[in-house]
Amino acid sequence: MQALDPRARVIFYLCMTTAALLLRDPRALALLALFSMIVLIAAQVPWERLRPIVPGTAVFILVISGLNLLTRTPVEALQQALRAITMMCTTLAIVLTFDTALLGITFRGLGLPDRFAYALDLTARFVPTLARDFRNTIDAQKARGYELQLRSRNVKDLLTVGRRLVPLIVPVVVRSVLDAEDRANAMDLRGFGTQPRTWLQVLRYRWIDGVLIALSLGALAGCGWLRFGLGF
Amino acid sequence: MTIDLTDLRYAYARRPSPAVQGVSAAFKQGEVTLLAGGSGSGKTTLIRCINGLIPHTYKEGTLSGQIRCFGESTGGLSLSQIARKIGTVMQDPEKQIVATRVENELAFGLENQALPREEIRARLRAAGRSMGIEDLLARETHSLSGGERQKVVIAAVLAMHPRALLLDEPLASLDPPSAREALAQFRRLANEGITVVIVEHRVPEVLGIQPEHCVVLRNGAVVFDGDAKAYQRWRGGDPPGEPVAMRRPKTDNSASLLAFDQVSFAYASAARAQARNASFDIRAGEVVALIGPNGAGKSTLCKLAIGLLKPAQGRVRVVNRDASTLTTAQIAKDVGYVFQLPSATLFANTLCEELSFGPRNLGMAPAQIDAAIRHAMDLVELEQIPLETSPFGLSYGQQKRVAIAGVLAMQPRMLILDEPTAGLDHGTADQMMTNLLSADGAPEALLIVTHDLRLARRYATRAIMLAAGEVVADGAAQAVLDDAAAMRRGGLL
Repeated sequence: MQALDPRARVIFYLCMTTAALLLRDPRALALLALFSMIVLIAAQVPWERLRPIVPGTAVFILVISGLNLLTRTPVEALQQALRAITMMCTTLAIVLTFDTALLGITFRGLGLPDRFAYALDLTARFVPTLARDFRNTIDAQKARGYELQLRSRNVKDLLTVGRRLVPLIVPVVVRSVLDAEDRANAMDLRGFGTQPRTWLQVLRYRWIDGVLIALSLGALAGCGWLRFGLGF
Repeated sequence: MTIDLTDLRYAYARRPSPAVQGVSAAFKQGEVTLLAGGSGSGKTTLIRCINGLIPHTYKEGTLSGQIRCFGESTGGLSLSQIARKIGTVMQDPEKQIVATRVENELAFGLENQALPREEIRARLRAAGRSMGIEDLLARETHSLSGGERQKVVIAAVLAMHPRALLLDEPLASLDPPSAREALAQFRRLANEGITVVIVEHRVPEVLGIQPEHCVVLRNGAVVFDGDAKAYQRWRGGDPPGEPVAMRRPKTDNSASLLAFDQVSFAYASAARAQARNASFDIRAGEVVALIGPNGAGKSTLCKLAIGLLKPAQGRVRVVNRDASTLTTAQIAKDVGYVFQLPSATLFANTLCEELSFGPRNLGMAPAQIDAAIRHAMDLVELEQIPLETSPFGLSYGQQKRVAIAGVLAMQPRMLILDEPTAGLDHGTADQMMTNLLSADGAPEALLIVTHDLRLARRYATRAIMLAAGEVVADGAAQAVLDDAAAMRRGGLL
């Protein structure tokens, strides 16, 4: 997976998720889910990286299926579960093997303008910072005697829980907004956005990337035919 | 002259007084200029005028006067044209780093100039070599230490081959050895012909590299402009290092407020322990400076003290109770902890709401909260600010004092302050520390985590030095700070 061009991987990902949304037949969706699991295994993501994510993902899939089971038919619940499995496995396989330093050039290579492509790069840069700021704020408020109680039974309690979250959310949001001004200044001071830029990294398609893109688009077209032509 | 300022004036929109008024100065090629002045004296605004952020980004204010850079008026230049001549290193390197990997960070400005890739690679390697960070090029930027970040930011600016370098409080996040190393690099850059302008509160450390030129601002105007010797005469030297006495000095039977007994701790992801067999006891009447280089484990010890972390081995006792049996909220009644950045805590619409947050969490009665808030405001010298004021409208220094007041209002017996003077000028910092030590109703003991050895020397009765999670020195502050061997062991010399 890591050896493939990141643009080819993004195209593959988009085709897989679109196919999962297109198909309705549980048998076809089951095949797609099975294939996505094989992709995740082939990606060879270390278990240490998957371990913290898997329980939450499993709960999410169970909740989605459970809600569908309560409000719709068992077949529809099964469809949603298979879709969720396909999307989760593919997302994990792509995201956890992606070199974040190549995020900007990947989307530039897919045709996005410099500014939008670099915005995606910046997102990858600041997700760990945001997580660290949030942890700091939780610690700082705990040191002021704050204790988070998220258990709630009704809507009134939910509002109380929302209010209890204000001391955690406001500092992080305010800091992010203020920091964004400094970061924009830092980028301006290094001439960002004044002209088309060079990207240090160069991406080059190889034959295997071409095969992956062709197969992905072909498979997506096939799924479209199954859905709209044969009604699967 | 390299950079000439003539009768420069700037007023931000919707602010009553101008931030810079009638500044005329010249910064020469190959010289280090120290730009000093108290908080809010206009230093950062002046830097923004020189590097073009004013008026290109801050468009709403009123700018007049002239800035000539290498013989050319900057009035007709775009921001990117100015950036090719003048590099800027902002106060917090964390905010200046935009790329996920060091190599990409160094390349960022060059990519924006649309230079060929071969030239970008050559320049970034040279800049990396120049700052001694070649081994960091493949590292993720979020994994860098404070000192490494600072070097990366400077290398990224140097890669653009600027002829002048503006440094806005470059030492703010650095421990003494990293600060000395950074200053030596600034001196070397000036010797190589770059114009270096350093805005800094840590004046004595900058004077150590013998700047050729010193400019002091007050209320936006130049009050001193001359060489370093004249500046030292004008300044009158540092105030004498007489320690400020605590109102209630330690006695033989002073109560133990915080005790560490053979405490060890390691983060799951860390290669080595952040605390190793740490043992000490802090009693009422003590002012303890916790010193050590970046990454020595100072913040980890503080988090262990207030129960945010639990020791892997050993025991922490807070007022003779085992901290492992208490929640952080329960410990907060006795030990207050003020985080370094006020932005981590401020959330409320008014000062009153902000300052009553902690006391309310502790279940204090409304009348008691009101009195506690007013007393805390007195201690941090903010009593003149109405309680209806929004904390977000205050200056950084005032916000910092609000964060301290927020914890003081909880009336803890002991207070832990993480870098309390970072970002404050000496006058404000000294006044605040004097109040915290000597006012009625002040905490019984202070633990000050600091890189500022001047602060430790002036206010601490005792110093604990950490290195690699281990206590390497513990004794009277003056003795520890004067002990060259201990300072070397602690990586501070």
